[in-house]
Amino acid sequence: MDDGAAAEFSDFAHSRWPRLVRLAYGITGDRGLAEDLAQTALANAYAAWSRVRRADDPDAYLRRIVLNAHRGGFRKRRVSEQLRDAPPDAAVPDPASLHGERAAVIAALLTLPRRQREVLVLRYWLDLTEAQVAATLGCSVGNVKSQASRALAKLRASAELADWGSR
Amino acid sequence: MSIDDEQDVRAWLGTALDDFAPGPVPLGVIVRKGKTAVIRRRLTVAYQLSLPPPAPVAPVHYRVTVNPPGPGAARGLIASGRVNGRRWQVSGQRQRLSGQPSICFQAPSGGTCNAGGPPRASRAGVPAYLTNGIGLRPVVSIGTVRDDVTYLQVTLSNGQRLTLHPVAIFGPGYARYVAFAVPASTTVTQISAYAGHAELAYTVPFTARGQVETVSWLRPGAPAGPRPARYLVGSGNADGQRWSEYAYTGPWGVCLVGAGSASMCSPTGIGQLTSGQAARLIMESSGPGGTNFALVAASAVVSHLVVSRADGSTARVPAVPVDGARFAAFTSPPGNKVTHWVAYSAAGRRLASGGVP
Repeated sequence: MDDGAAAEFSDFAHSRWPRLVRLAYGITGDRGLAEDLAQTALANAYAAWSRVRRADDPDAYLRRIVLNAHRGGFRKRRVSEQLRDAPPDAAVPDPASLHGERAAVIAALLTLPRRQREVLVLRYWLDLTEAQVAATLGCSVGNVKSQASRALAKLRASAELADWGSR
Repeated sequence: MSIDDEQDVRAWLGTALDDFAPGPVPLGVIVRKGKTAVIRRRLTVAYQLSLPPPAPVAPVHYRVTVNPPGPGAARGLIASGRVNGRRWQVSGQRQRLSGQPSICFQAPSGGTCNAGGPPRASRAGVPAYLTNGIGLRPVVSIGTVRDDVTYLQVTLSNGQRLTLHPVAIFGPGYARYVAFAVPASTTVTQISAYAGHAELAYTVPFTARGQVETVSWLRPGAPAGPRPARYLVGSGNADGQRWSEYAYTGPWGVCLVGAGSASMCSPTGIGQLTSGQAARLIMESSGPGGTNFALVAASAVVSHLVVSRADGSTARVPAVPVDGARFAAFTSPPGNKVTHWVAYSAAGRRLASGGVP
């Protein structure tokens, strides 16, 4: 990569980093993991920079890497005959980063299945269209609608949000 | 706080995420990781261009079969077959363990359970994920497939190819399961996922003690990545027995096989650390004599660890370079546990520290 491209990538990384980490944080509830996922996404973008810079929507590329890396990138598996502590995609909140209202929101988000969290964050925080969310997640628009609907129903009944609201 | 409509959700997520302040951009780490990926890709291409045609796989004397459940099969049956003539089968069902919902799998050689309900069907993520392994004679591997996967083809080190047909043991809406069994000495050389007759992706899994780990999936035809290599990360004596801890790099990424009961894989070595982190404890497992084995991942600037034990003694543990990262392994015996560790640079600068649970 020449100096011009390196400077261009540096600008790109600085401009995308905060939003990318927040996206990952909304999905994982873990600051360290969120920064790690964002780092992985940008490193991938660096490795394919000549292609990414010409892409119609480089942000979509980054989003997909974050989501895929969260789902399938890291594996930890104990050998057989051991009871697992948690299902493979369970997210653990970082207590140090949770305060008040944010804590309630993250706690409620983490009660949702991973796919519903992803749909909520992409649709209602990033304000992507249903078609964009479907393309990012590799599913149908109908699936996005149904996941969003189920997620909203669960949140309306969320004890975490109710507890916070009653304080 | 209440959620009545979509506007509430937007405000609610804004509360959680808009004000969340990430740390500074670790540009140096990002560029280093990116360069590693570029170099690895070039080396792979160069290596493959320089290779003579692959030699035929030496025949290995075992014979494996796998069959999907037939009509009238028992509820929950995922697959059955034979390994060297010996019959195996595996089934899964929902259970409650200690009041918690779980899914449990049972094979002739043992059983295993995962907390939580069965995973939902999904058209996103990796094509297949091997979630559990049971037993040693044979090793039964169980996994889920993505919704668009019609079947998996598993290639073994004896050249045999097994076709795995996913089964919806938990009904519609839930992920479908596959299973196969192999002798513990077998290596799975490739797993390919198909939609109809079109190959979606393939992976070169890592196999240790018969446990198969699928880490990175590649597009059909894409080069499989670096040549397999093994690094000795640590060794010693514990409970009267010699122990060794190895890191295996290859097309799968980096896999660390513990001297205890755990193994761990990730696409890159440095990926074990978060930005700005110099070192952290990534794996801890117990051996048969009660000794705990600990593994610390560290950045390239870490030279060694100093571990402190309950009796006040200390020991220096080298951090061994593997795939852009470093790893240090040490034991924590029950009679003299490690209380904490400190990571140092070659110049003696203290870079990170931590405890051992």
